[in-house]
Amino acid sequence: MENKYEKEFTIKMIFTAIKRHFRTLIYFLICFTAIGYTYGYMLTKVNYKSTGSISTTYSLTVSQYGSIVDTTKYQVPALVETDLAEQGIKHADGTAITLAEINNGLGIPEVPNTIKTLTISFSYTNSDKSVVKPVLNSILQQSVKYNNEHNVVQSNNPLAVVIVATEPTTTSNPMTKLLLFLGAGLVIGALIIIVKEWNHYAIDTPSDIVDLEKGAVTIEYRGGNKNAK
Amino acid sequence: MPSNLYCRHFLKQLGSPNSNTKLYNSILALQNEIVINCPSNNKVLGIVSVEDELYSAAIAKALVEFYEIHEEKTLLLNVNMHNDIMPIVFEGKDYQVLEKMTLGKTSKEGFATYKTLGLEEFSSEVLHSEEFKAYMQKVREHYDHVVLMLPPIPEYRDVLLLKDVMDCAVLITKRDRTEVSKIYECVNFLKKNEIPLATISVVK
Repeated sequence: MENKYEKEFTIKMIFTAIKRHFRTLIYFLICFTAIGYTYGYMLTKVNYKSTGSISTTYSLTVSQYGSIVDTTKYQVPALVETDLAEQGIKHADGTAITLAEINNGLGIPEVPNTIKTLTISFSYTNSDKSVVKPVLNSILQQSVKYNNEHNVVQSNNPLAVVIVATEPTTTSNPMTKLLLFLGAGLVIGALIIIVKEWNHYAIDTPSDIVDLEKGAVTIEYRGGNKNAK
Repeated sequence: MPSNLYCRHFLKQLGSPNSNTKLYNSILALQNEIVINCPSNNKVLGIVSVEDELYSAAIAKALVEFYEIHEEKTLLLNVNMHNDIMPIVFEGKDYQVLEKMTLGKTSKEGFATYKTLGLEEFSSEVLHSEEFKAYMQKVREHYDHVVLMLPPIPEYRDVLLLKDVMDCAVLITKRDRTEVSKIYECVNFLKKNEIPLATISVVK
């Protein structure tokens, strides 16, 4: 009766595959790390973000909260543009900060169904680290000024800046991208070598042919001269 | 017991001392396995490989040298006409080449060797001839062990021509190289053709 070879997917096979094709796996890791580095540090623009808050003394209604958010979104940016120009705050390369930049970078909170806090947090994001903090401070100040002047809140419960703009931090971490690519390289490389090994699994130890019920001997020939005559 | 001189020779022939202490023990284990699986009939041993001829040739030589160390008269006969890796016949304590030839139809020495057997040229017909069978009978009587180096199976089927002169076979496989499916194929091939398989060796 013929011995039929039935492939079995085992942990041993995975370890053997990785051991045999370790170099291939390293090549995959190097390639994917290089791609991840290029993508993360060279191709992707790094953005910086700062946050700050305004607050009232007493609690706000949902309507007041919504009004503050809306005025900050639609009215304040134009005021900020003027304010920045007056203060002489510009990009590092000397160009002016545009209204579109302010609108695009401004992060406003969702209006909640019930107000549980006195503070309203805003954020500002820009690729120029040097302008992030001053722009957000201007947004906070202009928002407070506009809403107080236009009686969005009661005069006995005025808005004030409670947390000034924080030091800018990167929003897209290149290291995270690099690590993601490294992980992808590891997974893809491992999958390829496991599939390759699965299709052409070569003997590792006599236990691989134990089903043949034929005694097998391992011959230690490492370092021997196979061409010895 | 083998003398130190022979042990040193064994080590010198097959590489560095560190690896060959292990090799010596491995060949000892291989021989034990042969004796266990073919206790009464293991005089003429066929060394077949799945694909890697170089390792099968090296293990055949190691086996012959092992027998020689134990002062058993041994003949190594390369009947693999598909390679030209080593001379055909070895014998004696100092591994004197009795009939030196490289395999290949153009080899004058090879032609001369088979001339002595009354054969015109080395081919599959040689292995099938009555002269060769008579020659094998003669060496069987003259030597304690005869090791036949055969071409890889099942690619070459010369082993079938030798099944009558051979007692049992040893299948040589190479770790990390020989596919398990091919080993099954070879074992089934030997089983189907009623060639006793003494053991399978995994060269590390």
